[in-house]
Amino acid sequence: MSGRTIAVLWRVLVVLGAAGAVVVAVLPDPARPVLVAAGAALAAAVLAAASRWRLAGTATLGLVTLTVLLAAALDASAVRPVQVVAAGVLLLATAGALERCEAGADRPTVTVVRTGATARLGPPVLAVGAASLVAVTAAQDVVPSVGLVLAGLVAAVAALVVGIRVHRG
Amino acid sequence: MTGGGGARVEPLGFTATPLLRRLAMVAALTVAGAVVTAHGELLALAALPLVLLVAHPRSGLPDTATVAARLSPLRCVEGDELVLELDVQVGGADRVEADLVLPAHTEATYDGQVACDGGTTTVRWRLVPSRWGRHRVGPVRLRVVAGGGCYAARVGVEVADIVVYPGAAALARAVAPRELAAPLGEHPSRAVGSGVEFAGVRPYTPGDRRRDVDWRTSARHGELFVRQYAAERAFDLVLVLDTTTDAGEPGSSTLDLTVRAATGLTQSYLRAHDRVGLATFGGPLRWLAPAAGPRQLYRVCEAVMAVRPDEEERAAGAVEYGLANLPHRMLPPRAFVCVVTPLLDDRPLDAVRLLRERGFAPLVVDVLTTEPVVPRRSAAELAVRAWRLQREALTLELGSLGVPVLPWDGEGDLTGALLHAMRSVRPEVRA
Repeated sequence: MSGRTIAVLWRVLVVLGAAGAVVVAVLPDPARPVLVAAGAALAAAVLAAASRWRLAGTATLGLVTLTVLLAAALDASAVRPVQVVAAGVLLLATAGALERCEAGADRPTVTVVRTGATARLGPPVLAVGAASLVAVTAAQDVVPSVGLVLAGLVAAVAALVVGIRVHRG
Repeated sequence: MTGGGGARVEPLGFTATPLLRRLAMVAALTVAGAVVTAHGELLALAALPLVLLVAHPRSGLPDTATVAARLSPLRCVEGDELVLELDVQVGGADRVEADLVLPAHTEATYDGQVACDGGTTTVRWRLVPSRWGRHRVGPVRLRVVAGGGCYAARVGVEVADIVVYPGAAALARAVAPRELAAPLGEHPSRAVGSGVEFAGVRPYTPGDRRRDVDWRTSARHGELFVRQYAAERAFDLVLVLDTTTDAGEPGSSTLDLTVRAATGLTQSYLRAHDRVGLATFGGPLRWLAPAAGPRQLYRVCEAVMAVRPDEEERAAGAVEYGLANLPHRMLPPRAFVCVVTPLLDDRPLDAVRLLRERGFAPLVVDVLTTEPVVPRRSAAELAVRAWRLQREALTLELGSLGVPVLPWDGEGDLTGALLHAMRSVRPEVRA
């Protein structure tokens, strides 16, 4: 497969990933604000794929995230756990495709060294497992407890802080 | 000869890719959204980027990469194939992308990669330079991606400089005029001597060798006759290259054909143990005194490689265009001078006149194969017609000076036309 074909494939994956994420999030009964956000996300994805602008790529991911958040916030009952996880996976796939699309050189490059499939797919599989666990737990029909909700949110914020700290040089 | 140097350990300075910032952005947005809207299920969306961020800490990135590039051979002829091998060893990298920077008119074909012991991967390219000159191959730009795509580092691997000699013009054999001065060569001349080519018979005189007696002629005439052989002489060829302009497509431009013709003539005549010299005009005047031997081929090739005016010479503008300052030792008496030129202006005519004044009868090889492409029925078409007339007038002027003009398109064999042109030079205009 030529370098040009691969570059086109990454661009197509950007658009398909973003479209898939918003479609999974807004179905089956989308509200008007969600549709507006979804449309904006799709437009940004097309722009990012066509122009390879980093700003457009970042806007695409932000708008897709916003679409999922809006869909869940406006009608929590309409968004099932599997939808959230599926949208998340497609969102990450879009982020990966954007990275390849934007880094693509004008000349074809040769990939010299590549780690094994186990090493590459391990962390994403772990992430999907963790997300599924969180989604299933959140969907349990239990009596809401202020303490439980607070503990979950504190855990999420702590994970965010730890996630950022391990990347400080 | 191989270039590129040995293995080097390069430090890797990783920087965060946009993917890292975007994962952090998605995670932060989602956690904030979950907190603001108090929807715990949204944390599932945040868990994906968070796990990825935690799984690829900065401390797990590799520190160094071991790289080595080998290019072979470093000297070649246009169209030859070179092999470039790149060894890469990076422990803990997700992938390494290699981007080979090539000089103009060089094509590269990826020829696969082999994983060796010790985690080293050897990548191979096949390079084919299609235009003569001195070129720099490389660097190979490596992009080392690690940390799940969150970090990238760049490494440049220098390769080597190559010398691409021009492809030689086809010449079946080295032909020469009949009047040759230098002794001890391989070209049969009009003079009688001790060569191997039959030149005639004459009556026997005391002192002639018995083995030279031609018995058939002697029997027919009733007296002894001996065979005579043509003397074998060497040939001094001086190539005068017009490098004033370079017209046409790269690869088949007038300068390309000029240097190919020069290389082909030099190669053929040096093989016949003749002496070959070189002079260029059109930029700074350069010359190489006639000499024989295999080393002279490399001297001529090196001199020919320098005929393409560089930027400094173009900027200088006021350079010596003529041959007036050419030293006398550069043009030995009775040397045959071959002027290779596209005949695009009057300078070749001036050069030929100067050579005639010095007593030489040059031959002109016309290497212009293209014409300006202009729209039909335009003023430019008229200009092109005027230009054609000017070239015809130039050719006629050269003809009136007794100088044959031999057109060459870079494809055909020069031998026959060269022989015809050499023999057509009138003896009275020869030195």
